[in-house]
Amino acid sequence: MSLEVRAHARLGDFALDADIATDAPRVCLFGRSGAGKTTLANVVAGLIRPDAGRVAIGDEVLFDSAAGIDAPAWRRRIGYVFQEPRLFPHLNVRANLLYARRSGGAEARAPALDDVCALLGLQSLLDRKPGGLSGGEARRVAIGRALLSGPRLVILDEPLTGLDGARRKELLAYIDLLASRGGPPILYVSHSIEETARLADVVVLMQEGRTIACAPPAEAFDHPEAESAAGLTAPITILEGRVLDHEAGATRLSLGPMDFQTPRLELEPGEPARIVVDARDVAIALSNPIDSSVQNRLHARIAAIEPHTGGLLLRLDAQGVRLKSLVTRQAAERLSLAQGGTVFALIKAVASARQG
Amino acid sequence: MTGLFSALTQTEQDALLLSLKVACVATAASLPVGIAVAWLLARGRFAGRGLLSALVYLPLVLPPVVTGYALLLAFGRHGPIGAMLEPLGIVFAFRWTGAALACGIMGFPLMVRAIRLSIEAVDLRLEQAAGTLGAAPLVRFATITLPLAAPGIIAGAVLAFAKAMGEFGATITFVSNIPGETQTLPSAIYSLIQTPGAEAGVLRLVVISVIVSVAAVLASEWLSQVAARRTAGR
Repeated sequence: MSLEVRAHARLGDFALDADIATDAPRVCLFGRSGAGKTTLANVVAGLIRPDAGRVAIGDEVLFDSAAGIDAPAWRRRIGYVFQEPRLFPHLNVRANLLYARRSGGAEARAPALDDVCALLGLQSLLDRKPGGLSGGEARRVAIGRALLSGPRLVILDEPLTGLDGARRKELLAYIDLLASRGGPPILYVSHSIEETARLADVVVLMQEGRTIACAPPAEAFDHPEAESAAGLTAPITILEGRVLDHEAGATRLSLGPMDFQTPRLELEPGEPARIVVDARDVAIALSNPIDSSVQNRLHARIAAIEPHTGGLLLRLDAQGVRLKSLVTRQAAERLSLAQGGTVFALIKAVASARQG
Repeated sequence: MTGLFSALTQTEQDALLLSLKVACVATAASLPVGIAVAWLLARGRFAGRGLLSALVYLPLVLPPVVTGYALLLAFGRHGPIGAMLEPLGIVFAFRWTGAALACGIMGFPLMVRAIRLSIEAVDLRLEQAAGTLGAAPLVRFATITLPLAAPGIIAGAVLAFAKAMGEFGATITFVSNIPGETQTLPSAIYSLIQTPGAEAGVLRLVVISVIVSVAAVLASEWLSQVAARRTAGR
């Protein structure tokens, strides 16, 4: 299902200028806090009325300032999991989950209660009141409640905020599962690279109210403004590969024509995987340092050299795999690095992120 | 209780029953209006909101005798509203219905204030969430706002009931003090105080008044606790 959002809105000092067109099932709105992610999500959900623009899901036009269309939020059929769970305190979990059905808001094609409970592990919570739930449980109920309204799109606004590491991992796995089980498309709002790299089919980069990129993760994070949009001190590269096998605490990935080793990933051989590489973790050598402890050494060509506040940014091409490396000016001078030269890229550390 | 009741004279029994009837009718009839006005004041954004608020709270600050006289002018047989309603068989002047009207209006500010505060305390974000789940505005009000504001609504209703039980100035001005028709508990106490040798009757009615008031407060405490437990989310 396609999502189209073109919106301009002035809200006090803040200006929203959004342009999104995608038909990916998992779209991540990514940017720093204050970048306008939630505002944009609210525009999609119909909670904020833009001054001009158009919002459409599939062939359903929800907002069109030129045509005078503005469907109210309760007619848009967009499930919204807010930053806070916003469960109804006077209703138990079952009644919260079935709220859309009771209030006439659920579509005939809404999933069955039992299926959603099984997916999100909610069976044991059904008779409890929201006040007695833990943060992770409440979040899961909120997701289940949104799903049970049979939405044409689910917005998840930083659903992992305030959860500890184990809960984050667990809930992220639920969300991942959700999208891969033929559920509704997801608009996932996040300021975490890890979550974004793990979930997104398409990343919408936002900075100061503007959407500056709308592309697959690897491409979006290659955007010149990606670094400042993400609030990073160094650029990152997202590499897409496929699991080959596991050995002794490590996982071997195929990355283009090359092999690549990462700390062990909980994935089956053959499954796609994404890894995040910080440009500062990519060192450069002129010859293959086979006596080095670094496992991942890629033969690469220097495609471009750009000045960067942290030194020089090398854009590398390792047999079709694009990689960024941040080196000091002194090091670049010492090694006489120049555009078109060939080097070895030594990848010292990776943050892994999987995609199910 | 029944023993106490049979110890009362006919006039005193009539006054007690009439007061209960007047207070119940006044509370029941003003509650829907009170909820609607409280919602308008809490959530409405319209011109004249300040004026409506002032109008609602007016009976609280006006001398009751002024409110009663205004009712007499408006709802009397020859008043503009009274004359309009009389062909429909609705008469307020010098009837118990007039006492209910006067009591309802005097209790209205108290009722609206309590309900308004409780509606304002309902988290708008919950209503917004209900909206994204497909609930139309009226459904949202009935399923989220109303239940969550229930403790305040109960408190407002009990306040209005208690006020109606004790209302004197506006009632006696508007509908006079006719035994069996408009003589409420406070009016009866007032008459007995004026009567030499009726001290025992005064005392009996005062005791009854205290019992009814305390019972109302206890009942409201209990109801509010039940409602608060239901909305606490545990």
